[in-house]
Amino acid sequence: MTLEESTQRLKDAVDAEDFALIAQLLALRSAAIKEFRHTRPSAAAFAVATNALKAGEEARTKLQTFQRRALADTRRLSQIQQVLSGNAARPRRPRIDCRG
Amino acid sequence: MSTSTVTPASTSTSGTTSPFTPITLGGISKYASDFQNILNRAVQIAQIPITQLQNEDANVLSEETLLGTLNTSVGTLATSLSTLGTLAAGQSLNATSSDPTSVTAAVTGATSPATYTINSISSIATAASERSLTSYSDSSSTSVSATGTMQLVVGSQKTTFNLTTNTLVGLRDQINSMGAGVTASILTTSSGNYLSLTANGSGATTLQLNDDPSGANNDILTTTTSTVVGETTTGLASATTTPVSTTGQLSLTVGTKTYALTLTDNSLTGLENQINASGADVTASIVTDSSGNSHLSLATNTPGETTLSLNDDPTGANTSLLTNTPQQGTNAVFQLNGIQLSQANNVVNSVAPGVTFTLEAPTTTPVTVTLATDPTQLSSALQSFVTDFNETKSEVVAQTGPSGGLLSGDLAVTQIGDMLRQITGYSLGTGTVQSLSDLGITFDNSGQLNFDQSTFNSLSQTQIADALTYLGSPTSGLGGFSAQLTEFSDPVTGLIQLEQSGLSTTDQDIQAHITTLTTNLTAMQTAMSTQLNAADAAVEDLTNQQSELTASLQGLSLVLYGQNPSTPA
Repeated sequence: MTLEESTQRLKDAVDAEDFALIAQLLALRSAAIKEFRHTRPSAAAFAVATNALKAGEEARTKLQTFQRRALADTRRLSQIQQVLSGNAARPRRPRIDCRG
Repeated sequence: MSTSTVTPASTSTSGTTSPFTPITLGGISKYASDFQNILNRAVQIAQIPITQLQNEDANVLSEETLLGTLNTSVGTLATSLSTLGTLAAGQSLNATSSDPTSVTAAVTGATSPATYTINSISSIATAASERSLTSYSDSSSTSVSATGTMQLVVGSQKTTFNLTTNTLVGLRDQINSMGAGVTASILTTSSGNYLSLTANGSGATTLQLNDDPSGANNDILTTTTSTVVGETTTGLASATTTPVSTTGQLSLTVGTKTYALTLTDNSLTGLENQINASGADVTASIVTDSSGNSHLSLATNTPGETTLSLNDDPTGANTSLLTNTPQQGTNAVFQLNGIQLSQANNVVNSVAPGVTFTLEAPTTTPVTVTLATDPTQLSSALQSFVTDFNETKSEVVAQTGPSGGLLSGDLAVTQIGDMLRQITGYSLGTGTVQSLSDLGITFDNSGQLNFDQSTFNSLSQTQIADALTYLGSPTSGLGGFSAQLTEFSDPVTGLIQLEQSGLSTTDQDIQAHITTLTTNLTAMQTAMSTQLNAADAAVEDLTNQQSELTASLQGLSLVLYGQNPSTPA
């Protein structure tokens, strides 16, 4: 898999938050980067590296966005739980009148 | 790159131990610390409902405990009132004996005063008890039977058996397994081992153990602990006037000792008195047979084998007056209000209704048993009632009002409080005792009762009688409240028990809910932990790759354009 292809698929996997696939594509991209080091210097290679670097940054930004969103979710959940905690009524004590 | 130093979420919230074990992330990226914080926060938030449920459950269990305590005190108060009612219904009768060493008595349902006279207790019931005539050197090997066949005689029941093991131990075990109404044991003495047989019940009976019943038929037992009893064979029409001796000269032999008696009063009574004053180891008494004739009965004071004889005119005709009756065990023989009775045990509960007599020792002096109203019984029962009432009242007050406990507003507590007010306000409307205060019971501002013993002690006979009417019975009067309180405290159908059952169900529901939430929380934590670990690793990998790419790009730029590229945004 080429550096361009692995980087694009990595971005897609990050969008999908598919961490198993992300791990696979990171391994493929790592191999592609090693392969790329042996590529003959050219303007095309420079463009490929530039695009891959840019796409990688986008993927990392998306992962950081995932972090922030998880943090925001937990805060929101916290607020909901605190509201529930404050308003929760005690379970009703059984009211049985055997004389009825 | 950095290693996470954030600790996992605590397992304890608000002092309640969580069933949940937090997971520690092993992240290595510079974001690992943030990931652990996110996980810890999520776990703590998810634990909130669990902690809340645990607190609710603690309250439920506390309520259940409070109800249990209340149930006990209400039950005790119901018992106190029932006791008062029972005492009142039975006129608070108590049985007293003029000679408790000879006869004791207890009221067992009598409802009216009465007087009973018990006299001529010639004997009290004892259990037959014998031991083997000879000893056996080794209880596990020495033979006890010549033929191995023996016969046990208990009363009219004869049981012939073949010894499985012809030793003392074998004989003991075989007798004990028969269910013959006797218990066998082995007595080990310096002179050897003896078999001891004791009847399981008291009363006169035959007790024999015959070896070789179809041949020699030797009884291997001898009377050991039963008192030897002798009785004059001839009944005399009068114990005080009919002469008992032809010459006024008699001889009494007890064991190896012989006593010469010269009667100063030639009658059964005179003979009885003279024997009892002789110092001989016997007790003489007069018994009356079913024909109304009187007999002299002699009983040795020391149990065991001995000889007993009473002869008239010892230097002349030397006539034996006694017939020895070496029966194993004795019956209780006595008169109750002039009725001659004989029975196998000493508890007399089928002759006089509602009263049970227990014969303790023989006596010739009439014993009077009196059943009469005993105010001290009432006084004691009233004091118990006051104590039990105050206990219940305290528990109800503790759960009532703005500062009431967890049971504040509870239906049972409210109704029991109403019942306590009805009890203290109960009034009969007639007689000299119409309310608790007439009995010396008053209550203070807090609703606690006080019993004034001196006020009660000053009650007249008429007032005591009216007090009995006021207290009623277990189903009427003040005592009748016991039945109403039992509707609360009944361990099966009582209102408190029903509430406790409801709380127990609630407790189980909460526990089940906690278990479900804990399971969900564990699953959520595991999933989130996996996801965050993966994100942490991905960021770390990606950062490394970006560094590599940047280096490659810098190399390319230098080769192709002779300069470094600007760092991408």
